[in-house]
Amino acid sequence: MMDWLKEKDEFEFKIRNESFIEKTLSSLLSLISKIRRFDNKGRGIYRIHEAFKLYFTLINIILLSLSFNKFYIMLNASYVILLIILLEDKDVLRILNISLVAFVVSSLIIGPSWFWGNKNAVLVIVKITISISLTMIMSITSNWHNIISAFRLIKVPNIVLFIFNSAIRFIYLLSERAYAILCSLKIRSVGYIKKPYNTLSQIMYNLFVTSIDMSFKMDEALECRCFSGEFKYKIYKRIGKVEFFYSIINIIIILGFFIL
Amino acid sequence: MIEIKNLTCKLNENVVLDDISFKINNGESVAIIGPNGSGKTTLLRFLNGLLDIKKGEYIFDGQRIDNKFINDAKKRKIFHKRVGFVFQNSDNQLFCKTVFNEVAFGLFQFDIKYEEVEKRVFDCFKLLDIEHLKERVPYTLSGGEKKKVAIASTLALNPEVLILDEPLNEIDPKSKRKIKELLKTLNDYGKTIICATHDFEYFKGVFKKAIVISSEHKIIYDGDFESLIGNKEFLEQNNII
Ligand SMILES: Nc1ncnc2c1ncn2[C@@H]1O[C@H](COP(=O)(O)OP(=O)(O)OP(=O)(O)O)[C@@H](O)[C@H]1O
Ligand SMILES: [Mg+2]
Repeated sequence: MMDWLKEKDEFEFKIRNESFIEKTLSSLLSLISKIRRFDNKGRGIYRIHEAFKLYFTLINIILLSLSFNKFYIMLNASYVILLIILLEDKDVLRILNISLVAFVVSSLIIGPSWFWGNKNAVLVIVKITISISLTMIMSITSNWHNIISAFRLIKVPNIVLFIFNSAIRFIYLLSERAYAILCSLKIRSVGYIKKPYNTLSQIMYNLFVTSIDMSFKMDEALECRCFSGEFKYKIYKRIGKVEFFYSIINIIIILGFFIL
Repeated sequence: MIEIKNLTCKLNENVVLDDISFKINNGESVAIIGPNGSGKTTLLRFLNGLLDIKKGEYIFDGQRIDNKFINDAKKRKIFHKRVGFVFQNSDNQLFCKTVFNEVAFGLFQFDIKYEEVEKRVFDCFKLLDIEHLKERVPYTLSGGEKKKVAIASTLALNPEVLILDEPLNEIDPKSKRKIKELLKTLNDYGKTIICATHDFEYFKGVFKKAIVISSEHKIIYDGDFESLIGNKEFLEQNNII
């Protein structure tokens, strides 16, 4: 009985291009790790309450777009540099990359108008670069969930925020599952799939059924925790020294708009 | 406190529970034991009023739990406050954006002062040793951590009846011991505990009563826990060990 199990197999393996699985795997992995980033606690600028970051960044960008005062723009530029210094190494690189792209693109678009006598062209380019850097720094140092709940202060209904948050959760759980399925597929198929698209459709089907099941279960979980329709939500994050310094710096910059 | 009479359940034409009746008194601790696929999880979902009862009766604290009861939002809310449920798969149970919010969620549904909520939540953190996780996103935790958060978020509501579906899955030995002690303490405080588990030998001294469901989805044992564990022959015959 089951003699084949006791002996070693001797087949010839067909090794083929496995780019299909490999590519999907790596893109899924990067998605998962991006969402996992929401989860690290962080220090310094990463810890600042998202509501502060969101609203100060918004105010700064609006004032910046209104102003044509060189000194005010310089003040903002030095603020961006200060923020960049406070970032972690890997994020510094990302911000610099994005700022560079923003700078080049806006120079190409707006630069030529300088020759036609638009004296403000240089200022506009710098303003665009600064605004984009500010936005990117905010989004890189923040947790998406908390940015979403920061919108609560401008009266977005809680249930809408809940749906957003659930969507992020679903994406995470489903992509984790897809990753697991693809990994097992890769291991079992020894790198060779006969009909990749057929297999893909089966995986999609599996994910579809899982997501339906997940939403039913989530409904049950909500019910078990006495949920009855209206949503109550609180941000658990104390306001401390970091937020205080951040506010002071930003208020100085905002005052700069009116004084300079 | 809990009484099930002649409950039969079919899901997609498969019989999942076949003519089940039992009684659980207030303050008892009961283990539900049975092989995979015998219907333990389904039974626990009935006890939590999550499934419609088509055939049979469920009486909780003198109150019939039927469609009419379940459709009354207010009654249902109070019922769920009194009966807590820890799911088998914690992925399905955690939906908030931080562990703190997860544990506090149930309490926020009632008009309780914020300080009181915070105090209860931190007490639950201490009971399960998860205070360091409070700002993490629940669904990115490890399997065992998720389970502990799920238990904490159920405990926070201080239910009278605590229903657990395989709480020891994926839990490390030290936390296992802790959860075992926790169940014992809760039972001493007068809470009713119903727990589906495969690790019943581990739970010696916690449970007083056992209910065994066979692979044919019928109850084949309903009685003393210790004497069930002693009866190896019976357990072996019914594919349990
Ligand atoms: N929604 C459903 N539709 C059809 N069949 C189902 C459904 N849910 C459960 N079943 C079936 O009911 C039976 C009992 O399932 P249940 O989850 O209650 O088992 P269990 O005793 O909890 O098993 P385990 O020890 O693996 O957790 C299984 O055969 C399962 O396939
Ligand atoms: Mg089960």
